[in-house]
Amino acid sequence: MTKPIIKVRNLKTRFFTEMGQVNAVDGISFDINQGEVLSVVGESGSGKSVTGLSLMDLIDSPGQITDGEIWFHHPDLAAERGAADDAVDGEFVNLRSLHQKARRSLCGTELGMIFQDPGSAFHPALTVGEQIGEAVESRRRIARGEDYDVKEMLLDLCSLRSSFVSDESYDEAIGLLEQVDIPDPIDRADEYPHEFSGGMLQRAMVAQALASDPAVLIADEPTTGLDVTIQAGIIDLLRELQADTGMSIFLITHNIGVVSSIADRVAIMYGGKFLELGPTDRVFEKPANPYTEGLLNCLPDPTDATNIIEPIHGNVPSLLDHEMPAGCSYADRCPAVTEECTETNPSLQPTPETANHLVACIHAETAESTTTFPVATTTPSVLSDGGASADE
Amino acid sequence: MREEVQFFVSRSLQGIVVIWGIITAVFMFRFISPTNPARLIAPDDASEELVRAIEIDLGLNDPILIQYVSYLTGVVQGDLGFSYSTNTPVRGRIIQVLPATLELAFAALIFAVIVSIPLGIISATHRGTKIDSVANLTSLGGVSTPNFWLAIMLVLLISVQLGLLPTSGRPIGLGEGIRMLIFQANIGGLTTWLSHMILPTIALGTYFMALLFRLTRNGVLEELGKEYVLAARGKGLPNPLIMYRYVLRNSLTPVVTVTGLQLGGLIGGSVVVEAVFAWPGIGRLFITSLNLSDWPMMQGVLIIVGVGYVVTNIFVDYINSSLNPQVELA
Amino acid sequence: MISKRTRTAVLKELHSNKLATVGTALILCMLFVGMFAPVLAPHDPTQQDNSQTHQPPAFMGGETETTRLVDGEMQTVTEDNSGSLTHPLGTDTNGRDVLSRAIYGARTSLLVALTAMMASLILGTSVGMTAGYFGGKTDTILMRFVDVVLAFPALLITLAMIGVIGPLTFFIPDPFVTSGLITDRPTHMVFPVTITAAIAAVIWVWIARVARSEAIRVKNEEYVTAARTMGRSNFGIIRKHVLPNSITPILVLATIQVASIIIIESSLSFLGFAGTNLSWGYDIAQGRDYLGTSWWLSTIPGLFIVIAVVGINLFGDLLRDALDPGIDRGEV
Ligand SMILES: Nc1ncnc2c1ncn2[C@@H]1O[C@H](COP(=O)(O)OP(=O)(O)O)[C@@H](O)[C@H]1O
Ligand code: SF4
Ligand SMILES: [Mg+2]
Repeated sequence: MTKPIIKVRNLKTRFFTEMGQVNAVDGISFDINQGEVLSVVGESGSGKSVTGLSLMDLIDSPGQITDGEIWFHHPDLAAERGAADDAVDGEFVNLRSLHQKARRSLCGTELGMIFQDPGSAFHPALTVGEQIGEAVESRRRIARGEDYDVKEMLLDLCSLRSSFVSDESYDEAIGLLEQVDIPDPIDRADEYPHEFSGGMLQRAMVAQALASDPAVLIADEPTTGLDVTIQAGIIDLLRELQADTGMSIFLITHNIGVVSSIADRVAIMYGGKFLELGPTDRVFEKPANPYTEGLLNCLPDPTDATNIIEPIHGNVPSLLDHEMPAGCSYADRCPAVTEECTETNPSLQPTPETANHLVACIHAETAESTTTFPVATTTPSVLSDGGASADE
Repeated sequence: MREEVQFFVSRSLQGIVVIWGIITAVFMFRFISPTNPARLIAPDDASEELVRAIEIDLGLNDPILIQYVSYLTGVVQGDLGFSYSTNTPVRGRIIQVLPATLELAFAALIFAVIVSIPLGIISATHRGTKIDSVANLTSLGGVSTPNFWLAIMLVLLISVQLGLLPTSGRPIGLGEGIRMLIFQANIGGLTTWLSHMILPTIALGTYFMALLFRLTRNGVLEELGKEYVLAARGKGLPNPLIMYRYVLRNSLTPVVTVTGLQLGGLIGGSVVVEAVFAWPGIGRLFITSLNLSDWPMMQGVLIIVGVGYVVTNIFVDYINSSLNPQVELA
Repeated sequence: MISKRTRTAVLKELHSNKLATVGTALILCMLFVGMFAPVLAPHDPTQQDNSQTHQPPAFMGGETETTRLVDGEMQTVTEDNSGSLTHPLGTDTNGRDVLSRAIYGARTSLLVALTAMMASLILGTSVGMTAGYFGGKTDTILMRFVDVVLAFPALLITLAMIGVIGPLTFFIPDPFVTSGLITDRPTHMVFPVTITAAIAAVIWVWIARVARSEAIRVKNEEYVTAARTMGRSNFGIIRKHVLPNSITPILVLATIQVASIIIIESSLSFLGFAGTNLSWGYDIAQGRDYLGTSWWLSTIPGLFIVIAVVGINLFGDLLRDALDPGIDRGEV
């Protein structure tokens, strides 16, 4: 029986730039189940990173999450707030209606993120151990309900080489470095990011994400830019950690090989939307969307770890609001396009054989369905792995 | 530690070359200038012979190389020569007026830093709001206003119209004020000192404040977009801590650099501000000497200011490299 | 010399940025005022009138009571001393028109700033290009020299240069007056050679620094190497390839530095080294003695300086944002 840990409903994230409004995430809905690896694949610029950042509430001006709900399974918090609260639904809490401070605390304790480029996600002037230690310290303080105060900062101002990290937290950080198989963790903890190799820094990044002891780990292209052998090491590490801790992983990648080797389910993202979502083997065996098909056709062997998605002919779609087509966003590149496609915007629908294999395409075979997606939160979740959601 | 010693040794060597250049340039200034020191020193009705005798006495008829070497050795031994107008040692006079200028320059520096950095942070975090626009316009005004005119406007408004603060002068130094407080338990000295400091400090520090404000604002804006700031938020750290620990570190590098470099600029600016406030500092000394063609005095001031700049620069580089381990000490 | 790409970038920035438009307008205004000073000034700026001293600007002032000697005895008299439109910005202690003086002050400022900048550009660009392009000893010596000049605050070293050069002025006949178009205005413009030369002697170093680093950047580009293998002379390469490809940052820096020059010029005039008495700084210094009674004397010329410098700074920001030459703001 699989239970969702996060239920995303109709999430919309926009950027308001000089060029116009960018619909980076354009109304997507999905569940992440407890203990599963959900992978999102798509060409670059399709909105994968923005989806991950939206889950972490790390969208900054000029961007904004403009619509949708992110329900997080957190029975304690739900009980604390009471069932009458609009932000509570059963054991789920809507992260979007939490205040900034409560939201931030969840980031430090329940959610962890591995950033796309570890080289720029570590501060160059602080040691790696210090930065991971800060994450540990942050989790401990949040658990104890303790804050950082101004006095502490003023004291710190007086010394150049100072720290907000207690000894225990620092030791735990070293333990984390050991856990991600970094040799000599005690010495390495005292080094600066630029003294690390790319692969080692990515491991340190994983350690930092683990510091919050997350229920959900969001990993944004954790293998991009690394050598093939090192990539495999990172994937193995993630798989091991997931087995040990039972956390869920939301894995963003454009490497099909990685997906087939680790993901339970896969979502195909294109132009800010999901075009297909389902169990990995099912989607790879019998892709229902022409775009997925096109992606897989380019690959001789989908399990090969070097398989990087190459854009199919044509350009990545513009996500600018005023340039977005009325119908299917894939229409101008789709080999199966018909006139209808440019008029109606397809939504995710179950395929006839497998209820948890969803596809957004007018011409795909879909099961007769009375409800169209996206759905209200109380609707049985066809997005999760066939199981019933906890609030049913 | 080894690295640090190496850094200071190699930078000091470079610094010595520049200082040698400064002394040489300053020597050349006097040499090229149309002034005849002998005529300045001699009484107005002196005979030609007397002028000749003084020339010989000053060594003005020696070959340039001899003059240069004797000036250089003098300076290296700390002897800056004798004033043409008062015939007293230049060094003593400079040491006498230096505290007034240093007090003013440091006060202006502190004023500028204390106002500009918080304002820059607020402006950056409130980008595009009214606060930001007002702060930006003020800083545009600040970099566009000549400090002597600002000084006069302050006097006009605060001293003449409102009668709040004294218009000019420096009746008491900081050291004397503190001495009065300690030995006579009299705070009067310090308050007098303070009341005379306020207007010159603002007049001198405003341009600098506006400059630092721009640097801080741009630096913070740039840092706020960095991925490690996002990562810090993802770790659950509170905003003030992120600002302090992740944002300010790198955004303050140019601020530290400019602060160090501008210490020289502040001393340059004090030339005019001192003129407005009749402030008995190095700037006024320089102007008086210029009007009298008193070259040894001018040379002395230039050397002190130039050497001060070179030394500050070395320390600024050191501070920056310790703020930023990626910058190698070398 | 200004490419089409540059022009479009500047025009685009001009369209999108309101402040930049203000800056450009202010600069054009100042150029216009400086050039046509004799036509625009309502009075001869040197004309003294002892019956019209200390008049406040138009619509200001009013009746004041003063006690003074009248017909051999002390009396309290009520005087009407309100501003008039004849002297819109009032008169000074000698009855000279403040507005006319400010207009002529703009002219002096422009004359000094533009001449000094031209001289610095020519000298700085030649030396910087040579040093950067040839490298080696030439470069080392130049850079040491630059270090020495930069070790001094700009104002202090400029003052020292004034001492080195000694007082020099030069009179230029005013074309408007000599051609007979205008009468009752000063027949000559005073060109303060000393401060212009002193300023140029310092500012060129800044230009040389940027020119040098640009030359170093450009000389390693492929087209330069190609030109060299084709046997073109070094001078030819600098003129045809290096200079045109490095001129943008140099000109942007020059524009920004004009603001510094105007402030230095007014400071020098304020300190009494103007060489002319038609200058903003000079008038501010004169007005200081009457702060208690005639506030406008120091205030108005200063406002002119601020407006001019704001204009140049805004215009400089515009160029920098549009062309992004990657240079820092120069400091006074
Ligand atoms: N900070 C930002 N400002 C403006 N647009 C952004 C920003 N971040 C992302 N976008 C836009 O959102 C879209 C999706 O980006 P992203 O999620 O990074 O794609 P990817 O799938 O490669 O991770 C891109 O088209 C990009 O233009
Ligand atoms: S809806 Fe039409 S255009 Fe879109 S994927 Fe399906 S067939 Fe292609
Ligand atoms: Mg991405």
